[in-house]
Amino acid sequence: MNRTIIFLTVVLPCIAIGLLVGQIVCTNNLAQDGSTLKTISEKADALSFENERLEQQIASASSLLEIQKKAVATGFVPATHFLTLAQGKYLVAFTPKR
Amino acid sequence: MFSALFMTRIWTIFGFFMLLYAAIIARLFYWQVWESGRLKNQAVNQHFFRFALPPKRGTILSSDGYPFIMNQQAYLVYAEPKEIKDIDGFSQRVSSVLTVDSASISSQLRLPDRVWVPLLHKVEGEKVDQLQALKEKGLGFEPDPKRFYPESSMAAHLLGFVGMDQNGMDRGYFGLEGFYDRDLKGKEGSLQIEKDVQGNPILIGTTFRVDPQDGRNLTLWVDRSVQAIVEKRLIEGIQKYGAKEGSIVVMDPKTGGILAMASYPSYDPRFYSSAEKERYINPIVGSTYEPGSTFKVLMMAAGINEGVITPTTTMEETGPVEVMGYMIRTWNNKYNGLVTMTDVLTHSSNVGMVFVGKKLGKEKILRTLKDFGFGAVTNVDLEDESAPELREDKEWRDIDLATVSFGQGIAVTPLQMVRAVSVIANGGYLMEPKVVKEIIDSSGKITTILPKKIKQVISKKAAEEVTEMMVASVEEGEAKFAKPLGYRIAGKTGTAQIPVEGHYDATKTIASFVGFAPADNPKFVMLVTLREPSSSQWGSETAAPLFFNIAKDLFLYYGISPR
Repeated sequence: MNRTIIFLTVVLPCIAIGLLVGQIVCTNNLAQDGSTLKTISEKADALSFENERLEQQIASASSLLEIQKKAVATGFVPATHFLTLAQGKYLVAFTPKR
Repeated sequence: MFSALFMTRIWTIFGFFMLLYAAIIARLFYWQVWESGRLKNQAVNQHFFRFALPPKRGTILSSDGYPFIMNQQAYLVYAEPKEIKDIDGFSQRVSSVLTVDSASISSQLRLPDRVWVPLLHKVEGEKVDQLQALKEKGLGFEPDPKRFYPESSMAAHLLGFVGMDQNGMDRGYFGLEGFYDRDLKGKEGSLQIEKDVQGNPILIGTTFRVDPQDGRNLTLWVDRSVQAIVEKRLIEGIQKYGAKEGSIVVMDPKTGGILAMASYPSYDPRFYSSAEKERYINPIVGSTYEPGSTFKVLMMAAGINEGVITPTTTMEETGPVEVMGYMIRTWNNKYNGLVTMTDVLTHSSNVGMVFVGKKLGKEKILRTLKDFGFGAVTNVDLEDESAPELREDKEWRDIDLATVSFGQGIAVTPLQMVRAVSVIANGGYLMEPKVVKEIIDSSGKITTILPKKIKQVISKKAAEEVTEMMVASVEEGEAKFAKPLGYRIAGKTGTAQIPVEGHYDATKTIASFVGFAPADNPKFVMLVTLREPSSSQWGSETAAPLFFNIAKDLFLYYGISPR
């Protein structure tokens, strides 16, 4: 009987205090995680923004207008004469062996 | 038992308490019922973040997957007047970056009860960086993406633009932006998170999230290289021939897919608000013209299909023909005696076409017009399409039937015309023209829009015979000097006078050329129209050379070799 009373008066409060402290620690960690989540979320937004900016730069750099400008700047000129190789009209070098 | 005075006091105190209770009940009613909605919202606002998750507007891609229109990061710049101490100084500093009137900003900030004032929408990143460097208290930024056009104003009429609706929300207008606005804009989402006293989210708290559905992407039939060729050549052609306006549409006759569509003058969708409003409408689907001689190929096709003529049917072309007191002449007032139907098309004889019209008769002519899709919209997926109505059947007089046989007295849109000619190019089928080939949703699911054959209008044999007649028209007609050597091109010139106040103005014409190539297995059908060319009024000397120049470029682009 005495042992039971001692158990109830000493051990149970210790368990209760332990659980209480545990809960406080967990809650505190979760609150800290909230702050971390916010930081990660901001980082994700920034990366998403950067991704869109890069996509835009790629589109600008590969636009026909830009390619044309670069072609002119590097010395390309519009083609005016074309040589077409059609079936039955091979040049001598291309004539198949009989 | 109790004195009257005592009872009076008791009742007074009782009454006082009753009034007190009534006041408490009234106050409780006020807070818990009358004001409950507002207080609930206030409580929610104190305990929760709640913000809208805007969807991304869909991208519009050319047939090679390159973006015609995409999104660009931009911001809404706003101010919170209660946080600002020096409104005039704030307004001056901010307005110098935003290049807006300082007085208008300060007057807005001084309005009573304003806690949040939007200053400018869709401000680009560089300016936002400059504003952030000012470190102004009470100045804030919200993401507010804007449309970005890597190819600048290319295909402006076709694409349309994004403006604002009456609620200040993005909305597509005209072209594809208008037609597919609901698909492109997506669906707004929302996020509600419980927050702590410092404003950080509480992980174990309540979170409600409704994900936004991003807008769908559109992949077009439009080939950006073909579009660039067409736009470049159109501007050159307009300058060379001194035309007021011009338009070109290129279609794949087998699928009805629009490969390119350009009109000039045009506008820049980035600065749509500074363009004249009438420029917004795409003339190829929203404006009408009289097709003139290009229409002859359709009536000739109908005549052959109905069996009333063949390419070798002959007629005597001896002089003008009279219909209801009107004299109908050839364009050069020259008459060639005994001619075949192929000659009629080659020489573009109005007299010969009256002969074909008479052979067809009223009923077949009217059925032909409807079968080729005139008098009704084509159902192209562009917002600004309109279709001129055909007059009632009973209103067609003999002179109307005679003139329609050579393309006058009827109004069509360029798209209706190019679709009708594609019937000859594809073996007899009327197609539904389409600009969009695929719709891709945010999960990557692709919905393909299949080509739609509406009906067979003429037989394959009739289509082949008319094709040969059109080839002869190009080889022997007025525009043969400009034709690229080694290619079989089927086509027809047109020069239509412009009706002004009930009569035709002899000096003003719409020059056009419609055709397809290679004639035996067409890769494209194209219509070129030039309004009021000044170097020459004839289609054979303006629109036809322009058509052939573009055709040469397209042959190279598609790798089609000469025979």
